[in-house]
Amino acid sequence: MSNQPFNGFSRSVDLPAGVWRASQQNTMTARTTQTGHATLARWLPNGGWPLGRLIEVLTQAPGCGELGLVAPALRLLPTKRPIALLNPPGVPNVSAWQQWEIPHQRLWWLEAKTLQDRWWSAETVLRSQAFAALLAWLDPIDDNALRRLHACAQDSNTLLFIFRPQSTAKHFSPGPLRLLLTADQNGELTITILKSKGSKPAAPIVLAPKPMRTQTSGEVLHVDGHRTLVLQK
Amino acid sequence: MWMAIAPSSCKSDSQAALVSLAAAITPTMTWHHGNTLLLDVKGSLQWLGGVRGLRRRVQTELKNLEMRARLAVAPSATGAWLLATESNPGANHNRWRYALSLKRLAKQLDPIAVERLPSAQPYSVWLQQLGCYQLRHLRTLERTELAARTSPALLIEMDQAYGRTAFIYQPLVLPIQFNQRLTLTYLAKRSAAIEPYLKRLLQSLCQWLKQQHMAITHLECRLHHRDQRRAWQPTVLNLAIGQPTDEFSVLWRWLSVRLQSTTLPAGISDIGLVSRTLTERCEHNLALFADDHDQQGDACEALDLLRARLGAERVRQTTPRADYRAELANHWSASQSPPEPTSLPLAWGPHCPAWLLQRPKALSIHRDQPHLQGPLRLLQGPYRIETGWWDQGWVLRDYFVATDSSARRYWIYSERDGINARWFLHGLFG
Repeated sequence: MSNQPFNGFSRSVDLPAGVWRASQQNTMTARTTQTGHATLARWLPNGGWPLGRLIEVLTQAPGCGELGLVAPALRLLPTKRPIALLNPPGVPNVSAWQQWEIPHQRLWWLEAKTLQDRWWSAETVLRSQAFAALLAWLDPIDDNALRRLHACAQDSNTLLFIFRPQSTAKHFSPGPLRLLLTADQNGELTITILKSKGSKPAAPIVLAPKPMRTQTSGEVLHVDGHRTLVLQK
Repeated sequence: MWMAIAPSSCKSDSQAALVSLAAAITPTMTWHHGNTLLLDVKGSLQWLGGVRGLRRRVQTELKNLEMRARLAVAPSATGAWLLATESNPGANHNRWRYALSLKRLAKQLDPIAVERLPSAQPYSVWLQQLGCYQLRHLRTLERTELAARTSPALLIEMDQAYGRTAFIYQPLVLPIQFNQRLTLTYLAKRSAAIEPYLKRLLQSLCQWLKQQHMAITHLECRLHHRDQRRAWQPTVLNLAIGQPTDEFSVLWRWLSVRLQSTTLPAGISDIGLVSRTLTERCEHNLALFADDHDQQGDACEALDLLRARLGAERVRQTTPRADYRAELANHWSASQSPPEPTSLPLAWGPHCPAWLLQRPKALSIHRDQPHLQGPLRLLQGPYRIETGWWDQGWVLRDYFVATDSSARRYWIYSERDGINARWFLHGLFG
C-alpha cells in the first residue's frame, strides 16, 4: 500500500465497523463476489458485488438487460444454494437461465399478492440465510420497508438485488450501491453509478454486448435427435 | 376361523369405520377383492364369547353405525368370503351364515356357482360346456387335467375355499394418527386469543411424535366456529412441510404465520389438530458435510414459511419439458419435492428471452410493421417452429428478436397460418 501509517495511528487499530479512512474509501467491510464484467468491477468497491448489502438496479422499464448484468455474478457465486426470484415482471424463462449456466433446480419463483406479503417474503428469504441470492421487484416500496430490508440483508450473506423503475432515482435509499441502466440501439448497456462508496467514473460505464453465437444460414443442428435447419435472411 | 364382512355400500368413510370396528376385534385383517373385509378371529373367539358372541357384537356395532353388511364365519378365509358375498335374489342384507367345521363348510360351498371364483371366470364358457355349474362339479373333475386345461390358480383358489391350502395374504397395516380437539372456555374472536391453546395442542402433538419416533410432513388444523345462533363451517388450515420435523419451535412458527394470514369468519369455539402424513424420523445426518445439511434444512424451513403465508401455489419451481413451444417447455409448478436434474435438450440460440408473457399479446400493425408503442425493428430471425401437430396446440410461428426506440428488446412472432400476418409479443429480454 502506498499510504504509510502516520500520526501514530497504525492500520492495525481496530476502527468501528462503518468508519473508514479517506484512503480506504474504495474498500468496504462487506464481502464481495465477482461480477463477471471487468469494466464494471473496476469501479465497484472491492471490485465486486457486495454480499449482504442492498444493491439497487434502476431501469426505465423491465427488459433493459438487467438480468444479463447480474446473471454472470449468480453463476460465479461459490455456493450451490437456491436463488429466489420475488415478483419478477414476467414468467422466468428456464432456457435463458440454462444459457447463463445456472441450473434450474436452484431457482425458486415466489409470487406475493399484496405489498406487505412481498416485503415479508423478502425479509423471510434474507433471514433464513439459506439462499445464495434474492432478485426482487418490490416497488412501490417506502423508505421504512427499504431500511428494514437493508438491515435484514446486513445480517445475511445473501446477494440482494432489487430492481426499481428509473423514477425512484431521486428518492432516498439506504442501499450503498445504486446503478442506473440504459440500453442503446447497438445492444450496449450503459451503467451510471448513482451511489457508491469511493470515487465514481467521470463517464458512464459502457458494457459491450456479449458475442452470442449466431447460427449461420443453412447450418444443420442436431438437437434431441431431430435435425433442425436454420433459416436466416 | 375367519369372519367376512361384506358391506352393501363401499364408500371410503364407511370402509374406515369398518376397519376401526374390526380393529377392536382382531389385529390381522385384509381387504379381499375390493370391498369385503376378512378378519382372522381365531384368537379372539373365546374372549368374545364364541361365534354367537362375535356375531352379536358385530351386528350391534354395525347397527349403531347405520351400516348394512352380510356376515359369514367359516374355517377358511375364501370360504367365508364366498358365503358372505353369495347373492340370492331376495336375500336379507343383514344375513348371517356360518360353518364351524370343514365338513359343514364343504356342504355349504358345494351349491355355489363356479363363476364366483375369480380365477374361474376366464373359463366359464368351457366349464359350462362340460356341465360344470357348481363348485361340487368342479371338485369331481380330475385335478391334474383341470390344472393343465385351465390355470393352477383355479385349483389353489378352490383348495383355499375348502380349507385344504393355506390362505396367503398381506395383512392390513392400520395408520396411526394424532387427532385431538380442544374446546375453548370462551369464544375467541381474534386469532391471537387462541395461541396459548394451540400451543398446548401442538406441544402434545410433539410429545406424541417423540413417543412414536415419527416426524410430521402434513398437518391439518381445524378451527371450529360458532356464534350465538349457529355453528359455522370450520376453517381448515392444511399445512404441508418440506422437511419432516418434530420440533415444536418449527411447527409453531409455521402455524402462526399461517394463522396470521387467515381471516376468521366468526368466533372460535374449538380447535383441533390432525396429523395427515407421518414419516419415520431420520435420526442420522445423511449428508456428508454437516454444513450442507443445515443449509438445506434452512431453505426448506424458509420455503415452508413462504408457502404458509403466500399459499403453496405461489412458491414455484420449474420442471422444464422438451418442447419447441416455449410456453410448454417453460413449465413452473408448485412442487414439494425437488425436481429431477433434467437438462433442456433444446438449443434456442439467441431466441432465449429472460421473461415470457403469461399469454402472447397481440400487436397492432401499421404499414406492414408490428407496433408496440411505436414501430418495432426486427433484429434477428426468423426462428421458425412448426410443431404440436400431435396434440391440440398446433403452432406455425416465425420468431424474431425485435427492438424499438427505447432499445429494449422483445421476442415477437408472426403466425403463419393466415393470409394476413398476425404478430404477437411473447417475451422480453432481460
